[in-house]
Amino acid sequence: MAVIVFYGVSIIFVFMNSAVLTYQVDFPEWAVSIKGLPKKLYVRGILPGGLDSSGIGIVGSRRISPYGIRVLRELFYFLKDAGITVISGFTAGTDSYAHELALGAGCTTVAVMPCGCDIVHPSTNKELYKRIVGGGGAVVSEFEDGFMPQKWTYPKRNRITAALSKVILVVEASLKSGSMITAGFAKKYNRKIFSVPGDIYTERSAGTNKLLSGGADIYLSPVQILNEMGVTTTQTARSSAEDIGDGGTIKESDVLNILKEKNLSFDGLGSKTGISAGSLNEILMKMLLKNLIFEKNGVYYVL
Amino acid sequence: MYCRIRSFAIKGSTVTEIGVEVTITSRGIPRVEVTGVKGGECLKSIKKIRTAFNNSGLQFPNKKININVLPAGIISDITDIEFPASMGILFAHCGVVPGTSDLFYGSLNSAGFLVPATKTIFMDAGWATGRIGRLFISDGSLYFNEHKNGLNVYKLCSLSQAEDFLIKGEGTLPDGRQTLAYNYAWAGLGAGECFCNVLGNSQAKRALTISISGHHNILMLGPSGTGKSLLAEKSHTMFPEGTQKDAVEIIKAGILCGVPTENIVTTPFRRPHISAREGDLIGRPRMPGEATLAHKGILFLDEMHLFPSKVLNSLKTVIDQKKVEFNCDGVPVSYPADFLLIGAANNCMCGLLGAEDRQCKCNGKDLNTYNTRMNPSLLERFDILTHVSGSPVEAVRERGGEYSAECSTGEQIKRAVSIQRDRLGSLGISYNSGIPHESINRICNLSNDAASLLEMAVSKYGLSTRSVHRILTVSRTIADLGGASEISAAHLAEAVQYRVKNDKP
Repeated sequence: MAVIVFYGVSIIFVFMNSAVLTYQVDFPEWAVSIKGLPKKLYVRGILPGGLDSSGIGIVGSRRISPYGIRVLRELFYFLKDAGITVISGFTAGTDSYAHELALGAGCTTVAVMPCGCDIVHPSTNKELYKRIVGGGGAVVSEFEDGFMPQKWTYPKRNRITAALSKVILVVEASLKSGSMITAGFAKKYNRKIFSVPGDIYTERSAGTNKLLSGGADIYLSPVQILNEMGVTTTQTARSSAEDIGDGGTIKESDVLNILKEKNLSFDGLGSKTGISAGSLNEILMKMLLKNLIFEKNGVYYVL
Repeated sequence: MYCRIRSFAIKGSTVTEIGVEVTITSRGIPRVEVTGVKGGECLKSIKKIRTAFNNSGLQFPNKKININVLPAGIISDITDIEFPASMGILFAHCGVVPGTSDLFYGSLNSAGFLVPATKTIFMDAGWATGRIGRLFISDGSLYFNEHKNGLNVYKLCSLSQAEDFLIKGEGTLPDGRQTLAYNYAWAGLGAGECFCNVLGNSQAKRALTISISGHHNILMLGPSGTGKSLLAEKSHTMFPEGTQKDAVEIIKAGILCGVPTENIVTTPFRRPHISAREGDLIGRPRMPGEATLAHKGILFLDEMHLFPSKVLNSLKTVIDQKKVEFNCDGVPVSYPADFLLIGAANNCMCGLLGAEDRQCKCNGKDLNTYNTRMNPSLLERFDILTHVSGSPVEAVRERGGEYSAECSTGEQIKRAVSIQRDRLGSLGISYNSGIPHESINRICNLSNDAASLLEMAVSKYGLSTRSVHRILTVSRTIADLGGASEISAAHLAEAVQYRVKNDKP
C-alpha cells in the first residue's frame, strides 16, 4: 500500500515538475465559422485569448537570409512590449527566428506544430520549446500526442497558422513553399496579408513578389503592422544618433553609415574606413553589444 | 652459475627498473630459454646475441642458459635489453659478480657493436635524482643531463670493449654526460616570410597574430579559396622560437613517435588529412599520433568540418589536458600533446555560405551534419573564431603579395612572447593560454571600463565560465601585444569579438 501511495505521489510530482500536459480546447470562436477546420485543438501551455485582434502570423523560408533577419529585427524593435501574439510554425529558419525574437521582445508566442504537441520538431529547438511554453505562450496542434510529422501534415498545420492569425506577414518565400500555402489559406480565410518585396532575380523572394502582384499588401515599414494591429506608437523610424547614445564615438557613426549603404565583411569595412584591425574589432563589438548591428557568417548588417 | 643485472624497460616515456637474471647450468641440453617475457618472441634476439658473441671473438657458452626478466610480463621482447642479457651471460660464464649499482641498457647488432639508443632520453634529470652508480649505454645514445648527480654515464662501443673493461678490468672509459644545448639548435625562421605576403584578410591576420603570440587555439571560417591554408602555413614561419626546454620536449615527442632525430630542431607543423582516424590523430597505446607529433608546435586541421565527428570529439579532452593517456599492457603511458590548434573550415558543407554572390546549396541533412560536427562544445575550445573573406580583385592586381620591410608583426610577437615568459615563468607556463583559474584575477587585471563591458557581454551572449576565462586570457595577450600592463576596454572588446560569432537574436 505504502509503495502504491509513494508511486502515486511521485508520478504527480513528475507531472508537476514538467508543468506541461497536453489538453484540448475548443477552436477559438471567431474562427469556428471557417469550414474545414478542426473543432478542437491540442494545447500545451496557455493559448492566449483575443487572437482576432492581436495575433500576427509570421512565415518565411527555412533558410532565412540576412535580409529577412533585418526585416524581422526591425519589426520586433517596434513590437517591444506591444502586447502582440506571434504565431509561427516552429521549424528552423524564419519560424524559429520569429519565436526567438518575440520572446526577446516580451511578446507571447504560439507555435503551431505539424505533429503531436509532445514532439519537438525539429529536435534542435528543444530549448526554444521550453521557453515558448514557459514564457506564457503555447504549442498547439490538431494532432494528438505522439503523432509524428508527415508530408501531408505540414499544409494542415499551415491552415491553422493562417486561421489563428489576424494578419499574416510573409517574409521570404520561393514559389513552391509552405509559406505560399499559408498565404493561400490566409487569402481564403480573408486574413490580411503583408508581403515583403524583394529582389526579382532571387528565388527566395519570387513568392513574396508574386503575392504582391496577386493583391497582397506591400510591407514597407513596421508602422503598417502596428497600425493594423491597433498599437499606437510615437516612433516612426530608428534614429541612429539616439541609439549610439552619449558613449558613442564619431567612428561608430561612420561605420553605421557605411553599413546602412551596403552590408560589408570585416575586411571590406577596414578598407573603406581605414581603421586598423584591432580598433575596428573594438568598435564593432561595442556596436554589437548595443544591438546596432548584427553579424552573420562574417558579414556585418545594420539592424 | 647465476648472475643478476639491473636494466630498464622504457614504455612511452615511463622508465621502469627491471632485473635480468641469467642462470647457466651444465646439466641439460644446451639451449637458451627466456622466461618472464610476455609473448615470448625472443628467438631472433637470442640468435643475434649468439652471432654477436661469435663476431666479437667471445665464446658463447655451450650450456643450458636461462634468461629471466623480473618483474614478469612487463616487456614483450628482449630487443631493448640484448646488451644487459649478453653481459649477464658473460658475467655468469666467467664467474664475475657485477656491481650492485651498475645499470645496463641497449641492444646489439650482429657485429657485436652496441646500437645507439634514443629512448634513453627519458632517463632524464627527474628520473636520475637520488640514483648512485654507473650507467652503461651505447655510444651515440641520447642521454642529456645538465644536473650533476650521483650517476656516472659510460658510453660503450662494443661487447668486446665492455668485456675488457668490466670483466678483465682493462682500460678506462670517459664519462659520457652531455647537455642538450651543446648538441641542438633551433632552425631559423624563413626571412621575408610574414602575413604581409597574404593579401587582404586583415581580421584573420590580426587574429592569427594574437593566436600565435599567446598560444590560443584558433578556428578560421570562410568559403573555399579565400586563403585559410595559406595563412596557417605562414603562421608556422611566424611561430615564436621556443626555449631550450621546448627543444627537449620536441625531441622527446619525436622519439616517442619513432621519428629520426636531427641536430636542428624545428617547430612541428602537422597537417593530418581528413581521412585520419581517431587512432591516427590522438594516438594508440603503443603508438602516439599526430597530436604528439605536433607537441610544442602547430596542429593544423584543414577542412575541419569534413573530419568524422568521432575524431573531432576525441580531440576535445586532448585540447584540455594537453596530453594523451593510455594503459599499455598494465603500464600507464602518457604522451604529451601540447599543441596550438589551428582549424580551418567552411561555413557549411557545400562551402558556399558566406561567399559573395553565391548561394549555399546545403539541404537540411547537410546542415545537421555540419552542426553535429562543429558542435558548440568543440567551438568552445577555440579561443579565437575568425572569418576569412578573401581579398578583392583590385588588391591582387595592385600588389601581388610582396613582403613589405616595415611590417612589425614579427617584432610584436617576439615582444609579447618575452613579456609572457617573464610574467608566467614562476608558474611553469610560457603562454597566456595556460593561465590557471586561480591566478586569472591577479594576472588579468581589468580596468573599470573593461569590467563593465565584460558584464554587458556576459548578459547579452550568456557566456559560460569557461568562455569568460578564455576571453580574459585572450585580452591579456592583446594587451601584451600593445605593451600595456592593464587590460583596457578596447582589448577586452576585441577579445569578445573573437569569441562570439553568428549571434542568435
